[in-house]
Amino acid sequence: MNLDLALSTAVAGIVSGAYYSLLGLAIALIYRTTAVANFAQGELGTFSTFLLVLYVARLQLSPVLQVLLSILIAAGISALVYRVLLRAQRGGDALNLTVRTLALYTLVHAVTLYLWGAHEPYTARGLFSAGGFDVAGFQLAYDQLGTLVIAAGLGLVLFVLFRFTRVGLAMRSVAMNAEVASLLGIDVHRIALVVWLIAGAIGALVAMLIAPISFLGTDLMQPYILKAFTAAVLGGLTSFPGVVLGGLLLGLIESFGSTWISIHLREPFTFAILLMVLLFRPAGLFGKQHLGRV
Amino acid sequence: MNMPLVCVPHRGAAGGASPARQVLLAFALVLVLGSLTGDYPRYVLTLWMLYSLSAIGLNVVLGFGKIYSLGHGGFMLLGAYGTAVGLSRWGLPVPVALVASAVLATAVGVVVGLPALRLKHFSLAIVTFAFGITLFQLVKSTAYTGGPQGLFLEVAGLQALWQGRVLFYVAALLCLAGLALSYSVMVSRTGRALRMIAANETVARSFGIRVTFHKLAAFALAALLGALSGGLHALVTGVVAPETFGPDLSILIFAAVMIGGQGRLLGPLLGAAFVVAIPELTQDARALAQIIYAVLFLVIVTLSPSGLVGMIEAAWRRARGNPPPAGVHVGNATGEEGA
Repeated sequence: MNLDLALSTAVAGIVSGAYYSLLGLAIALIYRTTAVANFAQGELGTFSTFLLVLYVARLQLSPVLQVLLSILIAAGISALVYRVLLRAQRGGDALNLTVRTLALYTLVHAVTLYLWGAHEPYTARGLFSAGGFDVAGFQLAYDQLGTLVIAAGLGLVLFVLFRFTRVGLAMRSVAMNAEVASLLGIDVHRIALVVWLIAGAIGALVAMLIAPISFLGTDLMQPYILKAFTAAVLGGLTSFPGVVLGGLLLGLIESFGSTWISIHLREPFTFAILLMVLLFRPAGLFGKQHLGRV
Repeated sequence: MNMPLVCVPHRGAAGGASPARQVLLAFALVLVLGSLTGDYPRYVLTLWMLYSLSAIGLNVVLGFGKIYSLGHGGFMLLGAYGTAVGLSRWGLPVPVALVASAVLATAVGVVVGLPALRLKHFSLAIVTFAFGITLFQLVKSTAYTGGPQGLFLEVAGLQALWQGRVLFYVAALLCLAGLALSYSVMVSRTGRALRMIAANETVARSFGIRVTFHKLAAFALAALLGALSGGLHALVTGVVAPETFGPDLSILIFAAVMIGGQGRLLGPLLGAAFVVAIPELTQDARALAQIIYAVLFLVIVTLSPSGLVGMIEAAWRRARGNPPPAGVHVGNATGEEGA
């Protein structure tokens, strides 16, 4: 393997790793604050991307505003899902709540297929111009660079939010222990609502980044969402930086795995790595083992 | 073994008087119905029976032990492909192929379960889901198992035997056997151990329950029933294709258990009836069929955490004017966890 190939494989790995990291972060956020594995995360992203390409794009707005508007809509839908599906009808355990999101996944997928399935795939206009430039003899495409910049920027924003703001502090405390947080006067449900808003926005943004580089179809996010789940578990759900690292690692492993071994064995290879890691570290690479108290 | 404090009170599936007799009566009814109807309704009833069998297996793991297994389709795949390869590549007799593939799937269940069952909740769900997808990708990319097209089985003779009644009876009897097995697990020490592990693993361990052993045993039993169901599916449809046994199947069986009512004896049967019957009934709605299915799925699991069984019980109580029995909580109201 020569250096050029290694470099471009690494860049491709980091770019898809960035998608996994961001989506994984959205999933870990929701999981830590509401104890729900949100299966509908990816499909909601696909749905809002369709809204962007088919409806919002017709408005007389600049492309950036169109994307921002669609992200806002997606965040609203996500918050609505929390409010109507999870919060309004209590009485289920964590498993039941998770299955509700699984049912929602089925529903959103069915609706997307019904509305837009007949004419897929669509082409989504890229957020960045085509082409690229040379870095030390190898091509770096603008969309790859743009994705990395956006992902890094979003990561930074989230970091600042968690570390330096009151609402971020409240989120972390709810994630750590919701019961104690509510005893300390934090409105857990409001925090959960904010988390669902943020997660919805992240999911939509990732889908809008992915749509131009692959075709926009009804199964746009399906390969990514599973990888995002894997990244979250690999990094350890208790640590948000761990999830980001887990995503990047997964992207790199997958990229090199499919270059070295075979593109067909990519999934089994990824699964083998996941199983191996969890065999030695059941709480993930960067997670802390939760010690139960009786 | 006495377990005060955490022991979950057990209710009969039909709210009291001898559930065994009622279940047997219901099965006799199904058998008679399946014998008298035409070929196509019988085929649908056969599908119901074998999806029930698979869901009964998953219910032992998911319902009793709260072990999040999202790769149940993988075990059905092993059963189906094992049977198909045994028949068409090695020329084994049908019963031998079916049993051999079920044994293989159980062994795989133990080998995968041993590391995987160290995990809990979310992580376990992802690992088992990835397990199902991996098997799906493997059979899809391997020429020996027919690649993307899958394998055809030379079982037209078996299918036509007594106009499909033979396969229907086999499916129904296996389903009944699975139900009996699941009932015996439910009321035995194993079932109590599983429910206690579900409630709190640390407590279970401190009571001297062999946690790993019981989880693994439940997982292996689920693998066995799933594989038998998959093998029968291959025989009934005469073809195994990767898409039939992909990740969607794992989600379907998971949904069936949750819709029916997890941890309840008859839940899997009702859930399987739902996932088989709704698409059949909504065929005329064509494109809308999936949406109808999804809406019903969403409404049931949101409004009734104990699924269709819970809904029927509540309706039954309301009809008799009885309030719900005070102080009795079936073990699925443990509130939020994991945070």
